[in-house]
Amino acid sequence: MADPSYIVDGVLEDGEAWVGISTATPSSADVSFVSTDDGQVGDFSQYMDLVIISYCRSAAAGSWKDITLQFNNDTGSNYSAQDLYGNGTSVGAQRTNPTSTGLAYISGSDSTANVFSAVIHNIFDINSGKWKSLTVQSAGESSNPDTAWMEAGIWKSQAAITEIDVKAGGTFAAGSMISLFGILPRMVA
Amino acid sequence: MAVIEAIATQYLEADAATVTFGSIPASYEHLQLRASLRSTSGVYAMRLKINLNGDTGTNYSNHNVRGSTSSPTAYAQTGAAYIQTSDGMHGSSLPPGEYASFIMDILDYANTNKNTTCSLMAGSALTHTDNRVQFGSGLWDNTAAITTILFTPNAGSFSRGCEFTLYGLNSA
Repeated sequence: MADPSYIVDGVLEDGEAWVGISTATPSSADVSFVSTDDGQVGDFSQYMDLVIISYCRSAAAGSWKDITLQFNNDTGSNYSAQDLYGNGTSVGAQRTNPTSTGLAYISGSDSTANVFSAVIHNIFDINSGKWKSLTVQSAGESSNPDTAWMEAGIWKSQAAITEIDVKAGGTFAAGSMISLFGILPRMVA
Repeated sequence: MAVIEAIATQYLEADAATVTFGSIPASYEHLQLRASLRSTSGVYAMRLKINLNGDTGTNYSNHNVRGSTSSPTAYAQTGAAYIQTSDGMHGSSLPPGEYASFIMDILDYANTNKNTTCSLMAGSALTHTDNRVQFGSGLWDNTAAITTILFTPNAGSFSRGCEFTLYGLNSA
């Protein structure tokens, strides 16, 4: 088995702390990122944090649809979140205890053609025995609502994250792009 | 040189009153600090305080916009002795597995012709009614290059298990 790029001739080297793991370009179904558990780039167990950068749109009817995350196939009511958003001249906030987290809103099929939404999820300390926390920022110009959005969320589980399902509240539209990055800690003294 | 390097990681194996990143090299364009936070103090919400280069004078300002349950609020301070979050972390009254999320970006930190402005994002106490999500700004009214960052909880100590990593960013 080949070593990951930060091990050279058996020695741990300094290098890129942000590692591109995978980019999905879904045209219909939700997206799953699963740890490869093989010591390579796709093995989540080596990372401190994960970041998901999405530029996407839903194919489902409506001017907007939600985008959420579920971890390790947990569909129970084991998530909590706090949101803050601005829409036009209005600002609002809400607290939720849903069956997923990382909520943001993206353009739906009734919104202006070719308008996609930008979403960034930061997921912290994914291999710790802590509950898993995250932050979300999103920007959408979908005619209604045009929303700037942020969320803090938590998955109430001590399990290491080995799978992330990105759900589009419908299906992703063609042209959507969802990239997963692994964030390494400082490993060299 | 890598585009993004991990400069230092501190993973607390015991409670600590403060966390400091010192001797920060000037060889990067920007800094990002990512952290997972909790305090030993028996409260549900508290501020995180940040000092730069050991300056404890009233040379800091910050603004925050915050969501808590159904209430959006904004907060500002000027002439303060530190940059702070508006709550933004929590204490030991929350379930033991719950830690707050925190990201701070400090741009062009080594430029000695500019005062230092940073952005902050935090989420905390999400299983309690002191739940917070926030975005904030911070200013240190000084043009010195940043060489030291000090983090202090408003009460208690950082709990065992808190994690801080400082990253350096370069464009090439």
